[in-house]
Amino acid sequence: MRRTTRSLLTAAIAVAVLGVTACGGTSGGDGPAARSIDTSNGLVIDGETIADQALWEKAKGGNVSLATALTEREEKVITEQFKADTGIALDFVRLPTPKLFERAVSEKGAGKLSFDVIRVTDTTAAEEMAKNGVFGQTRTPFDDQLRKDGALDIGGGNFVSAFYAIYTFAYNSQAIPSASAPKTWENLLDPSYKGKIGLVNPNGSGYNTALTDMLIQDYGDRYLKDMQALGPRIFDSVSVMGTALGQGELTVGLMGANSALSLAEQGAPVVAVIPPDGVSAGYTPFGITIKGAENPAAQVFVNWQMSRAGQSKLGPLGLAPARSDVEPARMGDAVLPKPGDPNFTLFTTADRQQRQAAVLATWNGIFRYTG
Amino acid sequence: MSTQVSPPLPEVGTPAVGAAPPRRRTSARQRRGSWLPSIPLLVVLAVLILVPVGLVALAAVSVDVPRPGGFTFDLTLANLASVVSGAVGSATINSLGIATAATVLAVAIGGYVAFVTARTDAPFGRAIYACGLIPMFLPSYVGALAWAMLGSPASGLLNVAFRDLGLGLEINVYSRVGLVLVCALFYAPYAFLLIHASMTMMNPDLEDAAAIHGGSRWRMLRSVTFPLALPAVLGSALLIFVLVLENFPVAQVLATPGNIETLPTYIYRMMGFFPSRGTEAAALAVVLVAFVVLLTLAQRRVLAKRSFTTVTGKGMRARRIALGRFRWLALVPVLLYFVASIVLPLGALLVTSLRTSPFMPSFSSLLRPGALDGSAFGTVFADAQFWSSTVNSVIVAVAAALGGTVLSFAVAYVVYRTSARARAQLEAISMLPLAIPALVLGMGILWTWLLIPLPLYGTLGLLVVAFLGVQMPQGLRSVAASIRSTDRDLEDSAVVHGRSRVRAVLGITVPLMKVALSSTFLLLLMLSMRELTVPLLLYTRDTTLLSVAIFDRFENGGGSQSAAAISLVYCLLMFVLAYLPRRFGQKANA
Amino acid sequence: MKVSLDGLGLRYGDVVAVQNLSLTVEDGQSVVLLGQSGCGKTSTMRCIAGLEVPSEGRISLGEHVVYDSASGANVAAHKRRIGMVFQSYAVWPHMTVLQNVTYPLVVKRTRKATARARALEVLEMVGLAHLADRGASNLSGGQMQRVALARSIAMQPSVLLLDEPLSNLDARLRDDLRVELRRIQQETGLTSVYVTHDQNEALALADRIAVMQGGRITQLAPPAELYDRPASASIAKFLGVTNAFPIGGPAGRGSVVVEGSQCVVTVAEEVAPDDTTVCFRPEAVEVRPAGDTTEGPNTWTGTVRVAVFQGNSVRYSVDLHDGPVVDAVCEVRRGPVQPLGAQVVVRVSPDRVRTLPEETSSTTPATAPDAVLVTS
Repeated sequence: MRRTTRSLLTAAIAVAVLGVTACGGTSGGDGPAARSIDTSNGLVIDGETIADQALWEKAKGGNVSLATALTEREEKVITEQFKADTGIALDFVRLPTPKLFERAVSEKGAGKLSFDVIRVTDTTAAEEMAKNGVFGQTRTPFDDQLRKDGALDIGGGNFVSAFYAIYTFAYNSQAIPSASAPKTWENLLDPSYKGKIGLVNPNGSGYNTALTDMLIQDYGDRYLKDMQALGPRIFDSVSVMGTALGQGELTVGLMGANSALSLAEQGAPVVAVIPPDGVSAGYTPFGITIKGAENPAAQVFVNWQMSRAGQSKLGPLGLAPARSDVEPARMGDAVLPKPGDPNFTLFTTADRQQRQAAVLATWNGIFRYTG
Repeated sequence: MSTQVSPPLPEVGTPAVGAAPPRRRTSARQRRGSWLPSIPLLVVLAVLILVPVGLVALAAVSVDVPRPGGFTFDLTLANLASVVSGAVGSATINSLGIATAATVLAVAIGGYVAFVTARTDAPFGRAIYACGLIPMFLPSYVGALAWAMLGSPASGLLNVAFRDLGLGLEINVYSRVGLVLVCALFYAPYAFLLIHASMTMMNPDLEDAAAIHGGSRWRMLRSVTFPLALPAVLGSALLIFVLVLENFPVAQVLATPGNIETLPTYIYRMMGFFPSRGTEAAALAVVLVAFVVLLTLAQRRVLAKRSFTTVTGKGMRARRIALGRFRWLALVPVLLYFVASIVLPLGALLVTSLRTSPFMPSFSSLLRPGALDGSAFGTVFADAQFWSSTVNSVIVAVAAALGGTVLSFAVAYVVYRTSARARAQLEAISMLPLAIPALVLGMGILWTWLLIPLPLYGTLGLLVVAFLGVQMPQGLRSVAASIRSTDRDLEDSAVVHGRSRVRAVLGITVPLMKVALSSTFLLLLMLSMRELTVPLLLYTRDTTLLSVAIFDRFENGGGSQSAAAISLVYCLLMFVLAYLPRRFGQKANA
Repeated sequence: MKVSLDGLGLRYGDVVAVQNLSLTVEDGQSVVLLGQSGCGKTSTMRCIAGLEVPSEGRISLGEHVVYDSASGANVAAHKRRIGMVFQSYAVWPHMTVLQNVTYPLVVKRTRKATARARALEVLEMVGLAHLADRGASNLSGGQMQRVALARSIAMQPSVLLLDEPLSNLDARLRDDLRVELRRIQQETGLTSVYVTHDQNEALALADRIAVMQGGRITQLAPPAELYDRPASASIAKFLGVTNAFPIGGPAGRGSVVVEGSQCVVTVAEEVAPDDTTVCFRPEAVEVRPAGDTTEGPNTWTGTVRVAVFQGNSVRYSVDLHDGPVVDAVCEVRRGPVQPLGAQVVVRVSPDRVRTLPEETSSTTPATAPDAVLVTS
């Protein structure tokens, strides 16, 4: 179904090959124009009430502990803005999803949970944490909007999707001139990329599971087998792969648009491609823990993240906001696919429940990553 | 006074014998076969070592990871079965192959440097000695990162240099050869130290005897000198083999990008899986432990022999061999080693920390304005987290080294100086961590301290406790060697002359072992400063260590500039820590 | 102070180090425990010092019981007020000579000036006062030995124990210090127990010598008596009686024949039925040139196989024509030195010949009757 819809639209979509020059970074910090922050009656930013008077009074001057699986650079941009907007202190621990899961569940079991808010990149991990009672009820004043946008109900009230990561591929523009750059997913199977293509292990990474699922759905197992024939380098983290791509150890890599953007901002000759045949998108589970439920400052952070103020921070990072009423993700001048777009292939909860195990088994089998 | 030999009395006739049936262990010194000194130490070691190991063993046969809240005794053999798979096989072969090759190379390097400095008249003896030793203070993990900067395909600094020079040469450290080289470079000092000690202690009479009996110099070396050094060579070879086999950080930095599976990276990856495969990781760990236990047993045999053969000569000066016109030539390999192990890595870290863009097409691009600046150091020094992790590292290292020295001394004393019960068990438990990869032990320690209802989790105390356990073998071995060579009469003498046993230990034995204890302290300090694998599993935001901060920055990508800057500062700190105690030690001894 | 050991036993696992040993050392007396290494002599000494805990028995110093396995009494080593000189001297290398010697006094909280004066006095006695401020690690072996001795004397011990005190010294020094040790022991009147494997040392230092074999005392006697009348062949051999030959059988009244030969040895004393060995010291053997009279008992002819000139004496091995090889030590002034291969006449006075059982009955482990010493 999806395939046909997409092919109809293919012609209409410009092939956006975007290079962001090494102009030096503002670290994605170009938010919208100066905010109007009003704390006279609760916390109101740009006219949107983030915390009512009662919550704000309790939260002011508080401290939030966040555990995140997002890359350091991006989490920093988001949380710095939060701190600037609210004056609430926030510390985050960055851990890959599986380790974060292990830590959170173990700490919860020992009654020593140390995080107020958790952000992971894998929905199954979030679900398991919820089963282990790590999460409290994650509610915000914007539940209606979020429900409408499909970001609210993914976690059964325990967590929401803070945003979507857009997964595609990127190449090293020094190794490949833009004329011969890959433009479609099929292009990636070119033998010239043998040994120079990188991908990230999808086990424990929802984003990469989503990408793998899209490739299998659209092109069949054959695609992965052909890729395996190219002898790809397999990474545990997209950050390490990004560095390898930027340094020319790789010429192409399958990665998030946000990662490519981040690399380009650091001066790496990395260019992300938005292929006409679609990009994959995955949820970013985000929820308040049972510890955070007792911490008004944590509630303010969750509210802020899902507010327009928090959501508008995401687009410039190359992440698709969960709310449809803020500016979508951008890369330079180009707008990236957003939820609802035909080339925005979301790995839905239903997809995940039906296929995740099979997708990972297929991937593990083909790439013989572990026994 | 008259004397006579009385008629014999039947042996059982004395009431004393009848009243006190002979006990099993009566080789007592103070308290015969007493549990008293052993029990507190056994409890401490059990918590530090046995419980974590036990949890890992339990996990290996459990359905679920033994984490708090999810603690069940549902047992299964499935994990062990999963170990017998193709991927594990190739990981095992890789690990064994790399460890073997790296060991041979490391022993060759260390042995050569030791021979040149100890037994020849090559110039700059002290400098050569330093060349052999200094790489020890560069954490192998940082060394691997630096070599990744130097020799990664396409973008490695050496490859850029080759390209700039128009050489059609490209090296790739993300390969088996690269792994072997880097491991050998940074483990060679272990071989150097052991072999150097045995070569300087060698009794020149033995060699003279060979010379008198008509051997040529080469013949003498081959038939007397090298065989005498053999225990040290074998001992260091086994030590290095085990260290390389279980080394996680170097493999993670170099093998993983090269798609080379090794046992430690495989275990690490299993633990990084979701849904968790911690139980399979534990099962695999059991395999690794089995290998290492076998080797450790072999090593103990060899090292035990060593202590009998080389530590005999006191004040003997081994004779030096005149190299004649090869004197200077002999330095070339040493110099090469120094360049590869210190100059190039530190240079790579320096360049990386100074260049503003992590991406460098050629060296000439560094000449562009703004291509180089020291801002990364400014950023690092302005970063509160850098300071907190530095302070954390120093606090944890000092505390772990102090505690480890005291604990090692206590265990060594009970084991070698008393007849307390369970001495053999005390020693065996203490040596156990040697056989258990830090990765596995760290996992067990995490579970242990989440289960034990003490508020240690999330504090620096947890890291100290973890390091105490992990470094127990090194501490004990270091103290034991010295306590065995310290004449126990010296302490007994103080007791006979009126000091209580405890005060005799503190007043006589400890001061006599001052040098050994301070070098144990130093050793543990260095090990604690370097340790990455264990804290990686245990750290929290507030308890980040310098080593973890560096790892984190590299793993997060893009941060290589500041990571390189921190690495440099870290190395500097290591050198200072290694140097200062020597300095003070010398003053104190003078 | 008197030292009494009563039924002392010490076991290491299954190894018996000391077995049912009883011994009394009278106040002011010097007893030497003499035996080969492993005979239990050092273990016995360490039990007295409190460094080993016996498996059974009782130890008293004076009237004070310091160990009793029956009552469980066990006075800690540091409270026994025993001086001990270790075989390795155990002089603390990180202290000066004076600090070493004052150590036991400092432990007893003696006033500093008093301790110093006392230490210097003792150092004077051992002839080391001039080295008082020298670091102890810079001393020679003999000096260390004196420091160790001074340290033990300075504490005014109830008993002084010396474990092989001279064994690490060279021969010349050993001779000098032997005399000096005896002088100091007699001057101070200290009750002393020595341990040694050297019979000359034992003979010189002891009021009485306790020969130890297999964890027991097999003979206890004053030096002269021990020298003259060892209780068994094994003791005799240990004491340097190299001429010890198995008895083949009686050869008439007051004489025996050496097993496997025609050689008849006449003995002045009664031959006991369980005597298995006939022996005589090399010093008791006279060597005369051939042609000397062959009349009289114990006069044999033989050939000199080895002759070693030792200054004032010559040591021979003489191969008897119809008997075993006999060792002889002859004073040079008593006759000319016989060259190798010379035919000689060998003579031993019957009253210098002893016939002995192989072991004293007490050393046979199976039946285990013990030599228990009673003194009065």
